[in-house]
Amino acid sequence: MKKLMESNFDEKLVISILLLALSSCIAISSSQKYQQYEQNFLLSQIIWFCLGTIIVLFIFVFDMEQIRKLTPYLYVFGILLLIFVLFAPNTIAPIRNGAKSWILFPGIGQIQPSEFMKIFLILMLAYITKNHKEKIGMGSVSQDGKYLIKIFFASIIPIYLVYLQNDFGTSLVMLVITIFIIFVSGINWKIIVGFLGMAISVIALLVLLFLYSPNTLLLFMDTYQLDRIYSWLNPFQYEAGIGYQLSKSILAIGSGMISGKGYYGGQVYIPEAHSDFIFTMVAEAFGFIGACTVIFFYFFLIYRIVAIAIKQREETFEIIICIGMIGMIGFHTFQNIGMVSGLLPITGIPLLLMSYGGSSVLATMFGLGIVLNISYRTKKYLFS
Amino acid sequence: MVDKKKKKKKKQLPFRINLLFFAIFLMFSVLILQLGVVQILNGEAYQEEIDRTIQDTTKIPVPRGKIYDRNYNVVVDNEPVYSITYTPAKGTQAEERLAVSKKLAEYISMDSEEHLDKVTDRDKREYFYLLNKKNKKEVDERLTTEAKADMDNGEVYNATIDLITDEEIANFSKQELEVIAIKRELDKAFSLTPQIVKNEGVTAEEYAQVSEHLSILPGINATTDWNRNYVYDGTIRSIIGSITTQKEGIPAEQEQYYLTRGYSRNDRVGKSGLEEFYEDILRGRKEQIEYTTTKNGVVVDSKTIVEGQRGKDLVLTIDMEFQEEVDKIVREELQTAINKFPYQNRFLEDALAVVMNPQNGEILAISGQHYDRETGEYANEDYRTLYNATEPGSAIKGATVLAGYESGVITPGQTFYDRPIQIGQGGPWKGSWDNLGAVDDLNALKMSSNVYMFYIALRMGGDYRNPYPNGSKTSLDVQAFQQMRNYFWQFGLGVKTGIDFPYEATGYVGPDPLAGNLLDFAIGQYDTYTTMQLAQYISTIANGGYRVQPHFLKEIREPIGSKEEIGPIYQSYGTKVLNKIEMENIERIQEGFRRVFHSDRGTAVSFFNDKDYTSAGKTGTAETERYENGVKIDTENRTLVGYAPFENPEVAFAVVVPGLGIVTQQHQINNLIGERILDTYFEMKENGGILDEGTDTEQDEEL
Repeated sequence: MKKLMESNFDEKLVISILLLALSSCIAISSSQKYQQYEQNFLLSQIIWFCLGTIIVLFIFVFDMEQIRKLTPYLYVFGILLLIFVLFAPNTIAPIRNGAKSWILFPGIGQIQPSEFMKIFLILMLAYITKNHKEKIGMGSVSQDGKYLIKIFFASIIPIYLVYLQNDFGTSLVMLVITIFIIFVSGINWKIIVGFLGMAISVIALLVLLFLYSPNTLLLFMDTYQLDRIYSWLNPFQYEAGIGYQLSKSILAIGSGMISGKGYYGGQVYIPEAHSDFIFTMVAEAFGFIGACTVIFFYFFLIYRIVAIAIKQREETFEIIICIGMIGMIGFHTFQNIGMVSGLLPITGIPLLLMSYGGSSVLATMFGLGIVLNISYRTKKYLFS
Repeated sequence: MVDKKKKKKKKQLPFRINLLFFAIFLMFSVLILQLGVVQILNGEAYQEEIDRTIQDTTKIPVPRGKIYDRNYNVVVDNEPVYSITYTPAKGTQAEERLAVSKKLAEYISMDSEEHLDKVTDRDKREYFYLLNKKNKKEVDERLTTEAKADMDNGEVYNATIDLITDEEIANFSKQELEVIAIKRELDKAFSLTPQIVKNEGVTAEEYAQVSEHLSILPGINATTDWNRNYVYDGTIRSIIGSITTQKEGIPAEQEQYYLTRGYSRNDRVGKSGLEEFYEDILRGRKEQIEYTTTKNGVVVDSKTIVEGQRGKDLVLTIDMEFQEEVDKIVREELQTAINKFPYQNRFLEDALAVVMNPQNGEILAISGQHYDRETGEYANEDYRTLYNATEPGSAIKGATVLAGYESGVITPGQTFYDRPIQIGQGGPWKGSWDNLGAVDDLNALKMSSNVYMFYIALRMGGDYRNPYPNGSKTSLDVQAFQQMRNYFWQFGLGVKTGIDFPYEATGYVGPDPLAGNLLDFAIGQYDTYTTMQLAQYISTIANGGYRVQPHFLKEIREPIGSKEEIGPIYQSYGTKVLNKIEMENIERIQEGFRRVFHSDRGTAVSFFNDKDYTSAGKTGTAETERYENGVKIDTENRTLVGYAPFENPEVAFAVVVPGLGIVTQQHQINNLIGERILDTYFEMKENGGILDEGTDTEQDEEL
């Protein structure tokens, strides 16, 4: 009893996960209206959530120290999987929608290692940060420089491997996770300002290049990426081609108006509505109100993780994990909803917990399981 | 110091986390703002756009029905021709067409001289412009802003394209030129309308390659087009007729007619002959696919509303083997006549014959041989049996005698004394070919008495004087012309036979109601008739008074997939009796006609008497005239109508040879053609019964 009293287990985080899982099921069942595939995605998704719950419960077996010790192994395992995907023949690792990201297990299913790698990267960066803080310390330019070099190498490897798979979106997510973690690691403000200045100049340069000399961009971007930017800026002009999905999506979302067309009331056919474009289902069927509700669920989820992180005081490993998760969920949500509503260019990343997909659901649940475990193992500082 | 630093650090951490949280809050706010814009501000517009979809139907042509002869030999067939078509969605961009062209070039070959020669510099410039963004940008920059100022978009584009230099388009590889050639074809297409990209010399391999890759070739389709193949070159070609090419499309003067019947402008339709007459049956039913598109041209749905069906097949009454024999007979006799008296017969050009079943109207053979005096060549111009009307002479005397019976001016067995008569002082003497003396109705037919016919005509006009006082005037009732023609019409003489053909002439109707003209009318030397009309006339006498409609169509068959087999009967062509002659004593005409062929002094006895079959018929010679350099030259038309066997007629024919010269020992072309036709008919029947008899008994019942 006393121990439970002392535990800081965050039930509200559990509730927010459940709310999103429920939203996911409703949206996926709504997307089956179009019968693009024969598979029953709703049933599969429910199974994935159940499996995810089992993973969460399994994580509770370990305490954080054990997880910390396991981290380097998980990280290396993830990297090896990514390398395997790249070099495996197409029969085992097929190319889908232009990306070579899956490993097939005939008869069982398929996994997407990059989804899990995001979590392993978060753990690894947390591991490095904790070690560095304890052994070298932070705050001075030389300490921070060494830290940055370690972080750079730890993150650039998975980012580059995933980029080689042609999964630009997931690379971007990993980059954002890394930036979030660096920011919170306690690094000197001067360095942050320096980097911020550099980032702004690079972005400004890219924008200028795009406007005045798009061909230069082709030196380090593929035409399809450039085309995506064009179609994002003007989806209806490219409606028959690359802008097809986006223009459909905007039509669907827009026509949902304030209160939506009701469950199963969708009129616009969108390919792959059950995965990356799941949000359009919600926005068309339940309108602005429904869409904002889902965004609020995500915000609440992030808020809970922030609360857990702040309670950690000095437990660097735990804090960094929370920050990584915040970065991941925040960016996924922003990027996915931003792209389906025409705010951002299309990068094929799922809406975590909502989009159909085993790897994505399991990996996210894995990460959230660790966060729940952190909250469960946080002692209340009754006397401080 | 240490403590202080630590404290600062402790404070810093939640601050940084909160800063991140705030950033996420800002990002999510932006999302909600964007949703507000899309859903609340513009939502209604998007909903309107969804509601504004357009339904379009695309019709896919099906092969035309085939045509068989009565023994199911293929007369007109379809040859499949593979073709690659392109049906663009609405609002398809040039870049997309280029992309399709590039892909298509991998599967089909369009690099022959013929295709590459069509590629213009303009095509090359457009290709260069679209090829990559670098080119496009460079070329765009050549046109100054000032120059663009007062141009519309099209002019800007044209001006820009023109600024591409000759050097830039000079060095395309053959592969690139092929892509340009393909794109050139794609550029011609209208949205949602199939455009042929390649349909000549498409190999089975190309067809298969394209079929397999349709999913990556938006708008492209691999289909089969059809070419009409006329198996019997020349024979009855003018009867079968022809169809328009895809370029000609539907005839402009009947555009509305065809468009309201579901044709497209580039449809191939029958433009003459049976192809035209039976267009509705042969055309089949197009497959119709309805596309639902948004106003931006994105196809959101497509469904088949009407299943396509190939056109139904026609089975003709013609026996192609017999037909070819009849063609041969008519041509040979025409050649002989021309060669025998080249000078006297210098106006002779045509010999025409129609052979039909008198019981049911089935046309067994139809032949019009024409000699082109300029080229010296013979040609099948069978349509002349329907188009050319001539004076038939005595062949129609059966109708005259029946008119006499029916109007009551003569009775069977009536005799007149045959010697020339003169109407009015100084009028022309009109007589028979010889002074025949006293003749009754039967002998009048047998020996072809003109004078007998004159008396019938005079009596119908109200002049009963017998013998006629030569030199005296007569005032005939003008009504007699109409009365006489009414009787003739009942045999089909002077009216449409009702044949299943787009056009038939009815002949010339003499306008002058003079007594002399009525007499000429009675011996077939005033109004003119077609060979087909004469065939209907003799059939009416042969079958005992039923004017049956002559027809080319025997059956319509359902289309089936197999090339070898013939489909089930869809419809049989029944015998159509247009009218029944309400005249008694038709047997007397038949008997008179029998005597022409079989009795002593019959005009054609030497040709028909000595045969295994009994036949009946009537010869005819009409005095006509031609003018040569203003000089009148006397000519004559020779005709023959007949049928056999006498007791139960199954074949009737009419032969017309206009414009023969007047010469003793003239080639007896009409009689010879008739004789050989009947001989051939019975010979072929004996040797295998190609002309099926089933219809005869069947038709007897119907009659």
